[in-house]
Amino acid sequence: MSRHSKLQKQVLVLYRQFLRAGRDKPGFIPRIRDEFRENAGIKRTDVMHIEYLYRRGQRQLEQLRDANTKQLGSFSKERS
Amino acid sequence: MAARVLQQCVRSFARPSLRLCSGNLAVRAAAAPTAALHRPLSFAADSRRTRWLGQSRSPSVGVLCRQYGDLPPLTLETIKDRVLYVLKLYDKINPEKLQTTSHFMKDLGLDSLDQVEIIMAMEDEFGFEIPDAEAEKLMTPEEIVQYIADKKDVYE
Repeated sequence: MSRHSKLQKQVLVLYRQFLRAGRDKPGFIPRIRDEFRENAGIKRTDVMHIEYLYRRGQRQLEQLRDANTKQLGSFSKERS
Repeated sequence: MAARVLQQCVRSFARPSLRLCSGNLAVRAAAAPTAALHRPLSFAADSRRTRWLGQSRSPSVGVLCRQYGDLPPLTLETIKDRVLYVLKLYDKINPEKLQTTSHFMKDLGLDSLDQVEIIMAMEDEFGFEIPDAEAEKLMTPEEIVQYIADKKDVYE
C-alpha cells in the first residue's frame, strides 16, 4: 500500500502514541505489539470494525496514560 | 540548576574577582539554557566537567576561560553506521540482507507498523523527535540518513 488512507494514518498515529506511552511502564509493549499485529489482518473495507477498535484503543490509551496505571501482566494459553 | 553549579564553582575559587565574573556569569547563564534545550543531558555533563577543569587551574585564569564539552560531531558516516546498527538489532530484519538502499516494505518485507517502530528506535537513538508526517515517508535507511543529516545540519 503506497498511500495510506486517512484511517490507516490514524491507526499508525495511535500505534505511535501507544508505544511512547508504554515505554516506561513494564509489560505494555509486548501486549501493544501483539494486539496491533493481530488486528492488522482486518480488511481495509471493514470500516465499522476498524473504527470500533480505534475508539477502543483511544480509551485504553487514556487508561494507560493515567498516572495510577503501573504495569501490565497477561496470561498465555498453554498449547498442549 | 546548572547555572547554580557554575556559580558555586566560580565562587569557590575566585573570591576577589567575583564582581568581574558575575557579569560574565549572568550572560552565560542566559545563553546556556537556550542552547541546552536540545541536549539537557550533555549540558549537565558539561557543567560537571567544567567544574573539574576549573579546579585544576589557577584561580585568576579559571574565571576568564571556560571550556564546554559536547557529543562527538555527527558525520554522514557515523549517522549511517548508527542507523544500520539499530536496524541490525531489530529482530524482524535479517542482518545479511540489509543494505542502505533496501526498502523496508518491498525488500525486507516489513509492514507499516514495523516502520513506525523503526522510526521510534531512530528517535531514541538520535535523541530528537521526528513528526508523523515526515516519518511515514522514510522507507529506506538511506532516506533516514538524509533526513537526520538535514535536521542536524551535517554537510560533507
